[in-house]
Amino acid sequence: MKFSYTLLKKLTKAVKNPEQLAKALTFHAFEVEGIEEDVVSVAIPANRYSDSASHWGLARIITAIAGRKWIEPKLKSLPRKPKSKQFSIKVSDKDVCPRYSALYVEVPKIGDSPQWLQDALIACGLKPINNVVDVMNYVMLEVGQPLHAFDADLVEGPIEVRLAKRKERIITIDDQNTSLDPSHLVIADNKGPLAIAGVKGGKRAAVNRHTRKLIIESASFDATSIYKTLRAVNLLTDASLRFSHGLSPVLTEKAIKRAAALLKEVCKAKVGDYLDINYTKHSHNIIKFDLDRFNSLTGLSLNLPTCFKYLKNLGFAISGKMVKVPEERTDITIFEDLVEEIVNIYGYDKLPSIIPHVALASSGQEDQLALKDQVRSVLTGLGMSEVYNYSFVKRSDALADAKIMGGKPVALRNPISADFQYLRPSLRSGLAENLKGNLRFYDEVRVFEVGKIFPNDNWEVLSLGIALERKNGKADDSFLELKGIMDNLLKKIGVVDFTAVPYLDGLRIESGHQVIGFLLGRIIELDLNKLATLISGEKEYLPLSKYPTVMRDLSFLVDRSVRVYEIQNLMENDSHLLQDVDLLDWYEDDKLGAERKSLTFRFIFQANDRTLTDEEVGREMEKIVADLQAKFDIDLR
Amino acid sequence: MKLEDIKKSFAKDLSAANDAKALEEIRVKYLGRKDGGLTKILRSLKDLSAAQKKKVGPAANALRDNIEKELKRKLGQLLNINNQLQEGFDVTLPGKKIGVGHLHILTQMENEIRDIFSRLNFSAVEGPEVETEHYNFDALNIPPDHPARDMWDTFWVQSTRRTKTEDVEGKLLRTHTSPVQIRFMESHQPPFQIIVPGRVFRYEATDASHEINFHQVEGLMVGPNVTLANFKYIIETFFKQLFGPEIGIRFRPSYFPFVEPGLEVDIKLSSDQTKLMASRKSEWLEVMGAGMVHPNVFKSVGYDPKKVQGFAFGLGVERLAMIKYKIDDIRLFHSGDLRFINQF
Repeated sequence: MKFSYTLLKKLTKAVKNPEQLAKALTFHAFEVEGIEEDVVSVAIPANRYSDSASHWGLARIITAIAGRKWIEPKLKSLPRKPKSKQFSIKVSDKDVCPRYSALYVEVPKIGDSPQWLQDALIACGLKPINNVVDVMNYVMLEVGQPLHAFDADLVEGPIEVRLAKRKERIITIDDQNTSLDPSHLVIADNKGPLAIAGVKGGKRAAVNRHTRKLIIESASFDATSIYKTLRAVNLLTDASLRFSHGLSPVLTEKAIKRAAALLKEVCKAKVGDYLDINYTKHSHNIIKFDLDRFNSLTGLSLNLPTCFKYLKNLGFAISGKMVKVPEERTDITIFEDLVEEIVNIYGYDKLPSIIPHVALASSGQEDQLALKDQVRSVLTGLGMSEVYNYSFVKRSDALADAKIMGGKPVALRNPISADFQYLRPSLRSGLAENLKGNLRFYDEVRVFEVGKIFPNDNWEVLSLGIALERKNGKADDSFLELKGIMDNLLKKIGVVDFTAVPYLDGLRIESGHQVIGFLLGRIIELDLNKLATLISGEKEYLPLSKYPTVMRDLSFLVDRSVRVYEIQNLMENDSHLLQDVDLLDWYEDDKLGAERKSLTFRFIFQANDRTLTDEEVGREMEKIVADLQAKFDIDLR
Repeated sequence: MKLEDIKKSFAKDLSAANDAKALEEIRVKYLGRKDGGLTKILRSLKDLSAAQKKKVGPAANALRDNIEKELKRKLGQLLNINNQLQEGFDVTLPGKKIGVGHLHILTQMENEIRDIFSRLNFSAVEGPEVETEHYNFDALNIPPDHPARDMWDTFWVQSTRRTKTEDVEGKLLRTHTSPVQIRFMESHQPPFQIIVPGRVFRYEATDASHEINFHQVEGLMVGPNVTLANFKYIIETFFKQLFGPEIGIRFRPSYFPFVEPGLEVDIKLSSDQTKLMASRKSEWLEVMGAGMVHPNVFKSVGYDPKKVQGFAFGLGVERLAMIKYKIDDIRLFHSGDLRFINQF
C-alpha cells in the first residue's frame, strides 16, 4: 500500500529521513518495499487494515517505535440527530451493515482541490477528480475509512442499505453495467441501487459539476460479505480492499468528523445534519497481561513497566494488569497478540539466541524417505540422472497414461493452461518428453524421477520412473538394459521375490500378488508405496560352499513364439542341484528356419555336502533336456 | 601316442596359448583325469612288463612334472603380461569416460537441509500433495472467505464424484507444507521437533522467479518451554551451516495466520547474487516465514495451548538453491534438461 512521505512527516516528528523510516518500519512493524520520491510502499498485512492502512495509524506506529506516544489530531464534535428533514437513512440488514454514519453538506461549487491535497492523492496512487471526491479519498488515506458522497438532489426518497433484488442492475461510475443478485449489498433509493455497498459507486447519484447538496456516507460493512461481492463482480477498489479486510465501526464517526472539517476548509461547505445508525455495542476488548508467560514464550526477561510502556505508546490503555485494546485494533484478541506487539517494538535484533533444552530422543525419518534416498543412490550408481517434472500434464497425456494405470485422471478446476490441465496419473509422459528433449544434445539419455502421481481423485502414489533411450541403438537393447536396471534396483533395495509378466508391448511387474509396476517401451514405472511394504528384512549370510561348481552349456533351437521366461522357469524348478541358470546368447536367423530361434544357456550345478560327479550332473542335464523337449519342442544343437 | 609326440605337441600348444582358459584346456588335454593323453599312458603302466615299466615309467613321470611346471610358468608369464602396461604406452591419454548419474540439484539441496536438521535432532516426515481445505486452511487459523486466503493462490481439484450434499469439502493442491504440521500433531504428542520436505503448488503466472509447483521444507518444534529465542538459535545455526559462518541473517515482523508472533527471515546476498536477481533492489532476500505456533492451531489438534508452545517455519528449497548455486531462472529446475542437471 502506498503512503505519502510528506504527509507522514507532517504527522509525526519520528520521521527523520526516508532511510530511517524504512528501517524502523521494516524491523519493528511492516516491510517497506521501497521509498521513491514521495511514495512509501508498505506491505500492510491482511489483519492490519483496520488500524494501519492509514497515515494516522502508521504515524502512531512510527512514533511508538521511536519510544513515544502519538497524539491523534483533535476533531470537533458533531452532534448526532435522531432524525433529519434534509435526508433519511434506513438499514435493512444490520448484520451486514452494523453502522451507517451520514452527513448532509452543501457546497457553493464543485472544482479542483488544492495542490497539497492533490499531491497526497497522487503519491498514494489515486487520481484527483474534484474537490468533494478528493476530500473523500484524502480522509480515507488519513483515517483508513472509505467515504462516499451522493448528490442529494439525485437521490429519490430515503437512502436504504439492503440486499440487491434478483436481476437488479447498476451502472457504476466507470460506466460498467453490472448485474446484481441477493448476495450483494447495495445502497439504494426508491428508484433502485445507488452504489454497490463498499465496492463501487453508481453513476446515477454521483457528484458532478452541478452538485450543490451532498450526502456523505461513512459506513461499516461486514468484511466477508464485501469480500464475496468483490470476488463475484470482480471489482477491486481501494474501498473494497479495505472493507474486505475488516474495518472497525469506530472509524465511521472519526472519518465523518474529519471530512466535515476538511469540506469546510477545502470546499467552503456548510455542514448540515449528522445521522448515525449504530447497531454495534461498545465492548472494549480487555486482556490480562501475564509477564511470566510473556518471558517464557519469548525467552526474554523484560519487566512489566517496559512491556506496558511499549503497549501504551501503541495506544493501549493499562489498568493494573489489564490491557484495554484500542477499538481500531481488530487484530488483537488474545494474549499472544500482545506478545507480538511488544516483541516487534523491542526488536528481533535484540532477541537472544538460546540453545533449546529438550529430552534427548533420537531423530529419525519415515520409511518412505529412506526408500527414496536408497533408490536415488542405486540409480545414480547405475548411471541414471534425476529429473523433476511438473505435476501437471495435458489432457491427451493424462488419458493415455491413466489407461495403463487403471484409473480416471484428475482435472483441475482452474488450470493455468491447457498443457497443465490434469494432475499427472503417471510419470510416463514427463519422462518421454525428457528423452526427446535431451536426445537433441546427447547420444544416450538415462533419466529417472521420483514423485507423486494421481491415478484418480482419491489415490496419491509415490512413483518411480526410469527411462532410457539411445540415438543409434536398438529399442530391444534399451529394453533389456532397463530390465537389468530394474532387477538390480529391486534386489538392492531388498525386494527379492518379483516376477515380470508379458503385458501390452512390455512387462507387468508383480510381487506379493500385486502389481508393482510396468516396463513398457523405454520407460519403467514402479509404485514405491507398494515396494516399501515388500522389502524383506536384513540380508543373511549364506555359507560359501566348500565343494566345486560344475558348469554345463546347452544350445538348442525353439519356436520364436516361446518366451524365454517360460523356459527359464522350467529349468530353475527342474533340478535341486542347479544353483543358477543364465541366458548366454540368443539369436534369430532365417538359416535356422523362419519360426525358430537359437538359445544358449549356462547351467551351474553345486551341492552343499559333496563334490558332484560328472555322472550326477549328466543325469540332471538329461532330465532337463527331456522336460524341455516334452514341453517346448526343442532341437539340441 | 608316444611320449616324444606328446612332448612336441605340448610345446606347440603351449606356445600358442595366450590366456588362462587356453592353458586349462591344455592341462585337460594332457593331464585330464579321464582323457588326458599323458594320463592314459601313465594309467597303462600297470599293464606293462617290469622292464618296460622301468624304461617308460620315470620318463612319463618326468614329463608330467615338466608339463605341470611349464603350465605354471606360462600362467605366471601371462598374468604378468596382462598386469603390465605395453612398452611406450602414452600415460597422458585422457581417461575413459565413465557414465555417472547425477542427483537433481533440488534433491541435493533437500538432502543437505535434512542433514543439518537431523544433526539438530529434527525428524523428517512427509504428507499428501492433494489436501482438503481443512488441513490447508481452516485448521491453520485461515478462515474461509477471508482475504488472508489470497496470500495463497490455490489450484482446486475437480471432483469426479457427484454427491447430493451441498457441503462437499473441496480438494486442493496444498499451497504450503504447513498442513503436515496438523496431520503430525493429530497423531503425536509433544515434545518433538520435525521437518517436512515436500512439493507445493501456487496458481500464478510463471516467470524467472515464480513457479506453479516448487518445494518447501516446513519445520515444527513443540514442547513445554520452546521459545522464540530457541527459534532464533536453531535458524541461525541452520543458515550458518548451509551458507557458512559469515552469512548475514536478519529477522523482521510479519504476518501468517497460523503463528503469533509471526516473522520473516532474510539472508544477505553477495553483490553478484544481488545482480542475479534482476528485479531486486535490496541485497536482502526473504527466505523463510516463521513464528510461534498460534494457540488456535494447537486447539484444532486437541492440544492445550496453556501447556505447550513452540515454533514453526517454512522455507523455499528452490530459492536457497538459486542463491547457493547462482541459478537465475527458477523454471530450469523443472526443465528436465540434462545440460542443467548434470552440472551438479
